[in-house]
Amino acid sequence: MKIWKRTVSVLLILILVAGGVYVGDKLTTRGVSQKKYVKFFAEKKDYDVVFYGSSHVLSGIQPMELWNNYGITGYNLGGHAASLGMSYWVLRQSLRYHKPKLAMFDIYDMYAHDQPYMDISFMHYSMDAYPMGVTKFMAVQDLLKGQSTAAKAELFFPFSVYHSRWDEVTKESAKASFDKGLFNSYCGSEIRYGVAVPNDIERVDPEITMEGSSGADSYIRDFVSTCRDAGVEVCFMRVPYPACVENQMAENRVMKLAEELGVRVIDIMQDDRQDGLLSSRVVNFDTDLVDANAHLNAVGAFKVTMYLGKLLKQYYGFTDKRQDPDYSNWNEDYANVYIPALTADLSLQTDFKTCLMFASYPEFETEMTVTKQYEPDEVCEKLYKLHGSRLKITEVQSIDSSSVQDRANFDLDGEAMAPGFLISEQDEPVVRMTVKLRDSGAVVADKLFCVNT
Amino acid sequence: MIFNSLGFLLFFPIVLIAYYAVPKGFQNLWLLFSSYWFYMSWNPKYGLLLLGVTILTYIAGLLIGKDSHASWGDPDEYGRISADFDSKVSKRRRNIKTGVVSGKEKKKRAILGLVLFIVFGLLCFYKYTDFLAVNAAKLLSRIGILAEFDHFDVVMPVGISFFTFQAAGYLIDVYREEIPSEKNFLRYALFVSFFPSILAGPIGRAPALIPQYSRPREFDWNRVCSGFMLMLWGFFLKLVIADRAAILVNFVYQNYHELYGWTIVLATVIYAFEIYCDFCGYSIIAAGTANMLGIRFMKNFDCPYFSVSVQDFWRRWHISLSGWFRDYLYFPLGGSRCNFLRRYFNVMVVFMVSGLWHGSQWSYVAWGGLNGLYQIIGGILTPVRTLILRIFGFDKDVLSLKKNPAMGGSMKIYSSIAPITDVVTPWEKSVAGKKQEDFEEDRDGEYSDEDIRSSLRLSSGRASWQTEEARRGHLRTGLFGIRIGEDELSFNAVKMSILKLIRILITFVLIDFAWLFFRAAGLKDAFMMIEKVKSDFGLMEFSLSKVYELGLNEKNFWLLIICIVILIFSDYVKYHGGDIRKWILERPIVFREIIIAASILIILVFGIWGNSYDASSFIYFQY
Repeated sequence: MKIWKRTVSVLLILILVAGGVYVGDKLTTRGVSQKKYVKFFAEKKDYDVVFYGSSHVLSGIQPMELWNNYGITGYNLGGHAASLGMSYWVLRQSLRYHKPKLAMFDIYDMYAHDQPYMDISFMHYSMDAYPMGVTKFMAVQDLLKGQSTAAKAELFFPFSVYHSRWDEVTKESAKASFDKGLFNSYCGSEIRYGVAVPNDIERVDPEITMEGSSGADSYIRDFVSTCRDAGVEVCFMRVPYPACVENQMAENRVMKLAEELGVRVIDIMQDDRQDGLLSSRVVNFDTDLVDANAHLNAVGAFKVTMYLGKLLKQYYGFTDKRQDPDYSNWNEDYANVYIPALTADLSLQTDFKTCLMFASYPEFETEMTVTKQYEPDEVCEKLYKLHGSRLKITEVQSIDSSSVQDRANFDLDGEAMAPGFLISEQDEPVVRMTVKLRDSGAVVADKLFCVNT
Repeated sequence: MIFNSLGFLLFFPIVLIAYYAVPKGFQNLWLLFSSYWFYMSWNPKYGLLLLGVTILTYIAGLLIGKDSHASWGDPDEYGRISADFDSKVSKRRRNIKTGVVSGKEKKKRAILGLVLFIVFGLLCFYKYTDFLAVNAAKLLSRIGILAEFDHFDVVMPVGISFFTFQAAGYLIDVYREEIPSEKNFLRYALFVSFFPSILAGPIGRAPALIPQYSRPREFDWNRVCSGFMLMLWGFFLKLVIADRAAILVNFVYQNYHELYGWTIVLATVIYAFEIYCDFCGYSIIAAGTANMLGIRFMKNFDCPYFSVSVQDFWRRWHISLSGWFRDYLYFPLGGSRCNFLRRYFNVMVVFMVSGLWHGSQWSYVAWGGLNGLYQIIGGILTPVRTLILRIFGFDKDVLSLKKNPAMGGSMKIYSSIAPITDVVTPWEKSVAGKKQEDFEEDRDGEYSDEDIRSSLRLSSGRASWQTEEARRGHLRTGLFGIRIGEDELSFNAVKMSILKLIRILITFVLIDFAWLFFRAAGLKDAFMMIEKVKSDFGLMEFSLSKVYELGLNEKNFWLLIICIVILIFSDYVKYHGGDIRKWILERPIVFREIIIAASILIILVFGIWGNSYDASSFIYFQY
């Protein structure tokens, strides 16, 4: 009798504590990782292609555009500052849920640090969503080799770090914590907003490579063998970016290793200009980057995805599933999730060049009324070209701003201004930009821009 | 490995399960192995130091206690250690005093002196070499000699101040023939290295602990539950209060130059609770851990912030260390049985040494000296205080603990209910087998000779009179334990309660002021902070929004305040002899389990733990 009572007592405490920790974890977790993976875990059919890599992949590939334009199903599992080691463990864990036909791995920064070096705060993004298990345990042991038990516990059991967010829990956040309808609207990717122009970069001869670390080499080999063991085809890619000399040399080394391993490399950089400077045929470094050193903006990502889709069809023969009723949920997601998310993001932008860039998406058409005070610079001129015939510019004496509430700033120097920069009512607007959806004609953004003095 | 680490959460359950699973004869061996594992997880090579000190003091104990007639007695009957024992002590002292010292005695004394020299020498070597060198260099430079030295770059073995004191206390007790020497090396080694107390105490006494290791420990569900709840309370104090308070305190003490004086006052008040919860939290976790293993520790804290005087505070704060200094330093110096100048000198020596024990910095010495000074000034001003109180209509004996035991916070002593840690203080120990009046006589002096004996008369039992007295005491107890009339609250009782409250507050202010020296980065910083408070208090700049800029946001600040109120309430109940833990354990099964689960969840959610926070070590580890 006593033993029975004691057992009940211990079990009751354990159940209550476990329940409490579950609720506490739900309430306090940041949830970005979970949101990224909701759709990935929920998808019943295996993907055509899954993308792995760092933030270059995260912001450089748009799976929904791949779907809309080629009928290829894909998911973006790139992670912020994800090291080579992290990408390997993301692959290992993701294969437990889906075995795609193709795993595409971006070669950026593979020799940047002694692998698997990575800042632990970024690891959460790629790891939190995966439940505790043997693979995750092994991943933590490997990624945080030599670090404290507390650090490992943080990654394996994220509540150990998130519980301190109890003071951030509100009624709304609590509701959102249990809302299964909240997920990443871009199939795992992130769209970046802004326009930045990099300096010229010297082009490195493909034969010049750098000394790599054996740790990195072994991760690359393991990545390939893991894919092959799982029956998944593997392909490396290089998402275009203004790569510094060292990065180019590192990438040259990876390409040689890929050759040795018999892995195809799709180099989206397409650097074939012969003036000694790094360039890309796929993207324009003057209009398609969000920061001067690395990441593609929304239009850059669109261009890369379009180019990649074409090659994927060509090399791997993926069938177009847009008309396949089994994939109707993809069409629904495109219309009901992706486009609304895109327009919502556009309406939030306040920087003129960012709006001009974003509005160049094929889904939109744009009308601009401008005054004589509006003096577009070279970057603006290039951004116009992205729109093609979907941009109409009219010059007027003065802009009627009575019906427009959304005021933003316009920077003449070509530098992106801080988002949310406020313009007073007294400022004279020089541009009115009205962006509509091409299909329905619905206005998604109507903004006034004033000259920032 | 510290208590609030993942390592300990894995280590302790394994130790506990194996401890009760192995044959009883192997329990000590398993505990010793576990203790060395625990200790060596810090730095394996210091395990050798611990072993060295253990072997040295063990052999010395055997040599010193060779012809001793002392006996351990029944561990449950400590309070009734025979009159022979007392007479032996007295005889030894008489002999020493009258100069009748035999050759054997000289030899024992020499061995004791040599071993203590080595043990304390080791402590000084690790702890004070740098301090002494720096100060010697400064001194030499004042007389024109330029001395250069390299800083002593050796990590102090954690817990050295505790295990050396524990071993030294044992040797002195053996020398005094208060206990026999321990023949069983395993048992003795466990006494020195028992993992719950090795890092930060409490500094156990051989008569209280060694006999406990002689008995096989049976699994006792109630004791394990009780120990577990103690641990939970300790974790609450450490993780939810102390480590949260530390954020604000650290912020202010590191940036006081740029802040107003009121922030220093606020941080110092918060620090009083931080250090209490940190150290008391550790002691309670240690006691809970030991309880679960069937070992009882002495209580280390007894509602210190309910003290009515500084003297009273030092009976309630870090009792194991205070008791050690009292028995092995204060009394040998002459204690209070000498002229007032010598007595004050003794008090100052004890407190300054205590300060130095806490750290090799002048600010610690100043902290100790300040506490000593409080007591001396308090003693000198007693007639003035009595006069003032008489003007306000109080009895002339109102300050006397002898005449007003309730004023001395002695309600606990009348209590029949076990204090929250379920361990006994030296004061409590002396109660058993004595009449109440005798006890009150003892309370008058700070440290009487009787206390030497009473501190060793450990009793787990409670005399029957206590129970009855306590019940009646509770019924007649008003605010802060002041006894009131049988039927109604008399005006005098209210007046006494207010006086007691004022005394508690004044004592807190004095103690808290001394904490400023304890916490400050150095003596210079302490004085600069005092100057800042004086010259730039900034009262008009005070606002709650500015409080929330001191490292803790609004929610965290108020959570801290709520938790401090809970702590004060808990101490208030304990002060009056209540036992919340016992009350919870007696509740029906579901209610009790909900309370325990909720406590665990509160610690998990509101505790400052995890990798993002630099899991602050327990403050007393550095001493």
